[in-house]
Amino acid sequence: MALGKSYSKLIRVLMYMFLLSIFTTAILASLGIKVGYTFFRVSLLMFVLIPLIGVLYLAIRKLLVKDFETLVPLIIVSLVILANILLNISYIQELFQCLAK
Amino acid sequence: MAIEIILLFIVAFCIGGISAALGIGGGSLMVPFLVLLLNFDIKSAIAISLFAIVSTSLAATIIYSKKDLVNFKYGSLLEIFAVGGAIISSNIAALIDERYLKAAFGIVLAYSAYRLLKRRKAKQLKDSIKNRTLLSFIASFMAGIIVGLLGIGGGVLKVPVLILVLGLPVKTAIATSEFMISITSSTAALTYYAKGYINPYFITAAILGSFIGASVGSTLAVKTKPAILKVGLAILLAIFSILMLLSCLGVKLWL
Repeated sequence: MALGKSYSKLIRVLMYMFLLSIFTTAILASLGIKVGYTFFRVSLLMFVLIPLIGVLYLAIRKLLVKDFETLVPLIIVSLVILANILLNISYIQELFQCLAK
Repeated sequence: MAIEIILLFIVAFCIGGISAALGIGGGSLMVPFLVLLLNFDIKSAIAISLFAIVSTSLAATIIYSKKDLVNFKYGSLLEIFAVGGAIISSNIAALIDERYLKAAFGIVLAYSAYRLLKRRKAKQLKDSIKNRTLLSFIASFMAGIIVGLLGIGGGVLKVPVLILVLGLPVKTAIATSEFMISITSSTAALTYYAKGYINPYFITAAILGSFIGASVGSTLAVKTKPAILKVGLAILLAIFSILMLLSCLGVKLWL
């Protein structure tokens, strides 16, 4: 399958999955269920991470076809985004601690 | 809060529709609407706008990449600089006084309105460009700064660079720009999320509203004359620009 089409398919599946998850958990949270609120926030976090997942997918596909011209920028972009996540890790850690409880 | 959520959904729906019809991110309309009409503080408005942009740009990327219009090579290369700019600006935005953010927003809106109404001839610009690679890197970095600082998609800088500097066809440039906007805005949104500027319910209303609005807008766009939409949008942006600058000076025209 062409790269564009498979990328489109992946993003579509992820987007509908997380949108459904956001909607469902939002209803649970508005009913006053505490776990629902935590999962609601996690779903939003996952939604905003869709482009990063897409970039990692593209990097893997480019590695398989050995297209290093595109692979290198994709890896750099992924690393820069991951560095930003590490920079702001405290809030995300707090979120996962809530989940663990 | 329920009324605010419903209002936000309606605003996001309308802006999503207009943005899809004109091929813009929608942040330049969303932030002033939230600040001036719904009385949100500007940092929360930027966070909401960024989430809405992630939603609309992903929806657009799905369609464009299915038609193989996205140039992943140029997109990923320029994205290094755009993401860098977005990370720097979104992290320092928390430290900047709200009045300065409003002033910067007002200026960017005025420029966007001017650009919509008066366009330089593409060939004239193309010939005057000398150092293409460096210029495209700087423009991408600046686009990233705008995304993180003001919650605007940055397509206003990215599309001209892809067309005039790198020589991509218009459709490919718009598709690649949407792919880039999805990554840049998600990076900036993540920072605002981590810094606690978000209300999950408002974000959800904005995401769903803009997603549905964009789907409807792209269908309606075929039946509407883009020139009329562009003039209307330019007038709206100019009004918002003036109101934003007045607001940063402490002048409010309504309660």
